[in-house]
Amino acid sequence: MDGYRAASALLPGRLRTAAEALPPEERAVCEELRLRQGRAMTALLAGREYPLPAPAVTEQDLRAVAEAATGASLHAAAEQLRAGYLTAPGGVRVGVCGTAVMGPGGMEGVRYISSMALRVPHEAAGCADGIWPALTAGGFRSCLIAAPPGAGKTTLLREIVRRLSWEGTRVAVADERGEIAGAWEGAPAFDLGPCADVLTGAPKAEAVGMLARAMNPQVVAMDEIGGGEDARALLAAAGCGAMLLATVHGRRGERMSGSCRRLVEAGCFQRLVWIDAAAGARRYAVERVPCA
Amino acid sequence: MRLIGAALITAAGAMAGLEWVRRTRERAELLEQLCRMLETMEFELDRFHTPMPALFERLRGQATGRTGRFCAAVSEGLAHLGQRDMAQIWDQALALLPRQAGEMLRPLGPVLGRYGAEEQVSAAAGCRRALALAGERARRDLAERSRMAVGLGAAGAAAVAVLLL
Repeated sequence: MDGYRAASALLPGRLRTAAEALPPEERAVCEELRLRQGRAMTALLAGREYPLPAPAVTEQDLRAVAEAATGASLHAAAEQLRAGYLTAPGGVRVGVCGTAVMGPGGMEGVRYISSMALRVPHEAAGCADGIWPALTAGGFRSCLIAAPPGAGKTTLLREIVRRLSWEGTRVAVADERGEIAGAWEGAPAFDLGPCADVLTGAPKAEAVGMLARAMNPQVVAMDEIGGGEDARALLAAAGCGAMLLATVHGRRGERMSGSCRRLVEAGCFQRLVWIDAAAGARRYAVERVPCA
Repeated sequence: MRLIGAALITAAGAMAGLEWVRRTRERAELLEQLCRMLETMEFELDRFHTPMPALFERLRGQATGRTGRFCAAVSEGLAHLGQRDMAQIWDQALALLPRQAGEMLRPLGPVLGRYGAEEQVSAAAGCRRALALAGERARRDLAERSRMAVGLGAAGAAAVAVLLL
């Protein structure tokens, strides 16, 4: 099942019909389907939202999406909901907004769902072909992928993991939100090759530590380096002798976040891949990071 | 010949009374089984936040008779979630139950799987209370009226037989 179909399959009948009416060339580049109560559903194409010809989204529609995304078990996804998203079959991530339920330990969940963003996963086999020689010159070295949101960082990361894995490199993947492998009940939706080990659902920092200790990986992969904890976990994994493969939000020419910059400055990454997604077309540029 | 006919009519009346007793007992047992099913559901949702497919697979294994068939229908329906939503799956499975029990369980369909555990437990408890009341009523009827039903059936039929004679 392709990513767009996996996302539209979560929609209730009348919205699904509208989503499936989107032309194939637009489906291929659709980044998100967005639902807001009382408004028309929109498709995010090349960074802009376009309304789809469907009736206004109701609360019941949003509930139906939550039901489909959780296998009729919204109560069992409380941990994810606390983090503001649900992981659905096919690697679709559903961002959830509404009225937060607060408890002594912070946010406990979302009671009244008011909007949702269905992130469409893309499996772009071959998207790393152009940069592969630069990435593997002298053997694969630790690599950081930097790009603004929606530019295809996860897609490129997945493709690099797949290629490394098919070349026989043991890759351990920390997939906190289930977006890299698209795992649903243990079975991955995307091809990550024969040598990839995926730990889904665990916080990234914790997962990287566990993978480095338990799976003897040659490469540890992780999406979206967040705070200092993630950076520390990657540093520890590099200390165990594993190569790193990670993504981070960033634009070329702008300063990276503190923890990520420190990782680069410490020599944890030898390659930097920048993605420029202007006007819907993606351009990749590989930069060698000088040795620290 | 006439006497045999009269005896048969009286026996048929008594049988009708016995049939009422059997059906009332079955109804009471079914309502009690459904209460137990809901009790398990509440416990699983409250304590373990068990996902619906796993929950109904478990209930299907525990329940027998009509309740078991009902749980099996929901469990099999959940395999097609997406084509049908939980409320539709639930409604379809309710067709396997008698009308009265089905109506008491119907409000649970739109709540299951769509709300937090607390709301689902509360909705299940509401349904369970209604079922328990109906079950108690059926048991009371059984205790108070079973002899009367058999007696009335036999007496009514005997009166008809006398008239015919």
